[in-house]
Amino acid sequence: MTDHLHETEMAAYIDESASDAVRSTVAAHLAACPMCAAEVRRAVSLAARLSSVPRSIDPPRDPWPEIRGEIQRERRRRAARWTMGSALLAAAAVLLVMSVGRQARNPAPIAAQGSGALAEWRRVEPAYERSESEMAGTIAQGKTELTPTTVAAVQKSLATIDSAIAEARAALDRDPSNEALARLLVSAHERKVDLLARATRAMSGT
Amino acid sequence: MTSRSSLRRASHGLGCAVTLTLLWSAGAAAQQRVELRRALVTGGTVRVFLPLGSVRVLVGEDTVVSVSAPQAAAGKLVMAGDARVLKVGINREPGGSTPTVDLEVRVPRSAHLGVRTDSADIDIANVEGGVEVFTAGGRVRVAASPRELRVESLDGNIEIESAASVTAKSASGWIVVRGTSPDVELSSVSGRVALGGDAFARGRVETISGEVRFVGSFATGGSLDIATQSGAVTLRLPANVSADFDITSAHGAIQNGLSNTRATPQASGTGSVLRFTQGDGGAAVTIHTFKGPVTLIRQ
Repeated sequence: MTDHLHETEMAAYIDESASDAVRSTVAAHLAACPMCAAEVRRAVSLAARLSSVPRSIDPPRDPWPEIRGEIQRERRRRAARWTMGSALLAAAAVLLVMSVGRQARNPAPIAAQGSGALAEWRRVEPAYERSESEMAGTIAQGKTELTPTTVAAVQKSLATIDSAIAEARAALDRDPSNEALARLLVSAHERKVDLLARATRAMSGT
Repeated sequence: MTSRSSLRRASHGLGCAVTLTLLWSAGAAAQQRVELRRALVTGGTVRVFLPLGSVRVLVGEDTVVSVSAPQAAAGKLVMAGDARVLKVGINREPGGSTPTVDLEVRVPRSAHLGVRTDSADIDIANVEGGVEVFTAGGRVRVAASPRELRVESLDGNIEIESAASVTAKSASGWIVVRGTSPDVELSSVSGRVALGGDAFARGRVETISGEVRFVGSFATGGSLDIATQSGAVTLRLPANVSADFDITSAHGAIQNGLSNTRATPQASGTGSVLRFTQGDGGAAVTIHTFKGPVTLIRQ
């Protein structure tokens, strides 16, 4: 088969904006065309993964004191288990990214919020890490669909962010009570999550 | 087996009739364009997609969407959907055969607009419905005040003049926002960010290494919140500005050209902090940097 579905037809079929007539025609094509069927499955899977990434989480109260306490405890243990400390901090940052982002348009004193944030970010930590990993993997597999200039820009930006994260993390390790440093670390994580999501979207055509 | 052409015919046959018109301008064959038109309900949605080239979106008739492209792209031009949601544009094609097309789309003033390109440049003017733009590498220029404006890019530059709430994100491309937006949220990785205006209401800027520049003054109760890892931050403010400043930097210099107050070492031991009130205060200016210099300049 050489005549495949157009991107628009697939998109309309997937997002259910196609009319019944177009939908049945596309369905008939998919039944006979493994390439298009595989492409639709890939797009649906990608959309499902993206939709599972939480956009925001309202921490019930200020998570930073607990996170800071966790970092300080971790710091004492880090000679033996530094990598775990990094993961906890990163996960904390991801949650804070979401909360800070949400507070941007409606800022409220963090200390006025409720309890349980530490447990909450620990609960969502695997989902964030999985999503970041999957998005990075998807980009690595399909990056040639973007122009070389854009791919180079994304790679350079990711390197810039990773460098910033390492720098802020090292500084925070030296000064764990510095909330300004924590916020910069959070901001860097937010830029990374955001960039990965946009690069994935640019490739997916959604 | 259904072919692509029959699918397109079926899609195009839906809803209102499509009018195909050849437009001649000054009798020059090179300027010959093809136009597709369809009805759109009030408050309907128009989604524009174009991989390469340029797309210009303008306000047209109240209940009609029209799209025009060079005659050479007539066979590639798509207009699908119904009177509630219309999709117009050129599809991405495999094997590097996607054509480079300059597209002009006219939409009802109140239409909701979504524009998606790979590297095609985007110009949007005067629309008033919600606008959402996504491009990998195209330049984006918006001169409109829709209900809400959201622009996302990877390495394309973004230029906005608007009175709407604005969210703009880039990685390496720069972002410039002018106008009287009540709420601005901007972020980049290395791209420079410039914003400002008289009686600036509310803004939040985050970059990694991108420079941040603000020129203007603040509304009473306004706020400007900037966080950057290594980007230089420069604020040009009038001598009579009234604001409360809270600036911290781990390793960057802080220069205050507004008053005699100088930065002092942070209590935690890392970096320096500058906190002071200028004039009567009231607006909140917060800047956090790791190693980017912060400069406050009196205009």
